[in-house]
Amino acid sequence: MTLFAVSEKFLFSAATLLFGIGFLYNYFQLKSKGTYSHTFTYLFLLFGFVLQSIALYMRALVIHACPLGNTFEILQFIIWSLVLLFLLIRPVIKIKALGLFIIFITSLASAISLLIPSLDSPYSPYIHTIEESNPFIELHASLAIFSYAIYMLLAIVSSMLLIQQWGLKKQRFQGLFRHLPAVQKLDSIANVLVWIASLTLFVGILFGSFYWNENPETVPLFKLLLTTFILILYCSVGIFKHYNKITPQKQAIAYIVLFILAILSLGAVQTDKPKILSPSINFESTLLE
Amino acid sequence: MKSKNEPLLFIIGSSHEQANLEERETFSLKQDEADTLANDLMNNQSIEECIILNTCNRLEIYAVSDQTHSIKELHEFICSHQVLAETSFPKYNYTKTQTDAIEHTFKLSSGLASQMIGETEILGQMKQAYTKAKQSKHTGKTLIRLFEKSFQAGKLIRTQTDISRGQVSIGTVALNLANRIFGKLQDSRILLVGSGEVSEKTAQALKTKGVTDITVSGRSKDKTDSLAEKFGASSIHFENFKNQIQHFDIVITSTSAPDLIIDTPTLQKAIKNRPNRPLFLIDLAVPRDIEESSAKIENVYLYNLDALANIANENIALRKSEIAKATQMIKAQAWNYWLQAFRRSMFQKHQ
Repeated sequence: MTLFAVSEKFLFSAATLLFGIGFLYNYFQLKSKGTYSHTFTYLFLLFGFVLQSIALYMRALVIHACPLGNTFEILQFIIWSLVLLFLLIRPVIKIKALGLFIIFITSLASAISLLIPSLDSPYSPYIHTIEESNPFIELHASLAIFSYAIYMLLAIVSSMLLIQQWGLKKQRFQGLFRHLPAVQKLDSIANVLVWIASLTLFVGILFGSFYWNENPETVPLFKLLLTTFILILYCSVGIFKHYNKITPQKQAIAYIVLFILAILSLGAVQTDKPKILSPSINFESTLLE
Repeated sequence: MKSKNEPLLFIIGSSHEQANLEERETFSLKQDEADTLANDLMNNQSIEECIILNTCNRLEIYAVSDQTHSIKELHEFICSHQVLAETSFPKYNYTKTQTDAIEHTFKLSSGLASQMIGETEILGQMKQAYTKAKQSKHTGKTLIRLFEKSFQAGKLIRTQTDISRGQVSIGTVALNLANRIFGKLQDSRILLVGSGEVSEKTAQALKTKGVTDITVSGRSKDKTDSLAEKFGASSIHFENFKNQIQHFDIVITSTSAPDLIIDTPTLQKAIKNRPNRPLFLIDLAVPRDIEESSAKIENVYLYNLDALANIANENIALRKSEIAKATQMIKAQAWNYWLQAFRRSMFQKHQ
């Protein structure tokens, strides 16, 4: 699909470029002056987010549903949700250096999704047709992906905690270390985020179950089990932490590992698809219309 | 009976520049040891005057010899003295004579030779050492003039350059680090172990930062109680403080104990009882109070004097031009002083 002769792939690329420039600008500022601009970070993320929103909207117009049909779209949607989260929470809760980490992760993840063309594969025949699109399953998909964005934020906060801990142990004081929030604060944020993300995922699964109840033949059992397993793992770590059974450092490592598992599991989920016949959608042909 | 040769001003010393904290704590002398050394030096036939500067960062012997013994012999005499022979001092030391010694003394009083460049505490420590030596009648005209001039030079350099401007104190660094661990320092519980001058200064710094929950523990009950009263803090018995560590977020030690007072097992036990809260340990003592290996415990952050000073000096680049300016001034001051002393000695010779 094109809008004002601009394809959505171009907009995704432009958003990635903005994130990348924003990150590089801040990186060099930090390296040369020992500080970086929070306002510039916010603005780069905001403009990138606007471009990404238009691109996702253009995709949504094609399929008449939330664009979550292939790995490329899932990654872009997670990045979009992550940036949205940041843009919403930043004016209210100030978490030092979070913008810098988010702009780095978003530019990296977005660049990877664009540089591997096979990730943006044509939709498989199982994907629900325009007529068959169900609000419950759409809500389920968007909530589940949004929860993954929160889990991504959790992984970023956990990385910040590990870096801060490392800096304190190795007695580093300059550069990035000066800008990181307190260990205790990062730990508290992680403790809250894990439950917000898990609750979002749980609600997502709940909405999915309404649809699956009516259409049991469409239930992708492996996908359901894998997602539930990841949810249980996250909750277990949260419970262990609540009862002081693990230290903040081990908790942070666990959240990073779990997020990597969650992202890898998306690939597994993609391959385990119920066989529902519907016309396939090829984006390359759609883009060139 | 001392001979009447040309006097030789010399300094034999060791500081943070030659020896790290581990080495320095071996020659951190107690007051009676420093007194013994000073008395034995004065009993040496060749030495006419002497001042011993003994701080946590340096041990320096300022002396004037009549040159009946060579500087090498004097060096050997000092290094083989009973209070220093078994320490790292004989291995890590320097010798400065005449103009070099003058320049070094001026540098020291200006804070240029300090571990944290530009700090003012050294001036007070030099004055204390000088007063003590004067009271013990260990000083003569050379050292009196040298030290008086160095105090003037120190003040002049501090007023005419920005060497002390933007200077970060140990207390500020410690508080910044605490902020990196706990965020709001005001909510942290702090235990000060030791009731000496360092503890008092630390308590003062903490109070100015709005910290309210301070507890003091020291061997001397009277001093501990008086410090606690002065800063509105609580006090606990020195014998009990180890069992209470788990209840504190920041532990600052500055005792003059010759051995460790907090070992790794004690901290392992404490952190086990507070797995969700980090423990920040600041060891300001020389010799150190806290076992070094405890830094390896998860969630425990241990900083000693050297570590804090390194961090404080990270902003030194900003003051590089001021350091160069101060160094030039010191060279000029030292040269002027040397010329004056030379003229005086020539005049006395021809009288």
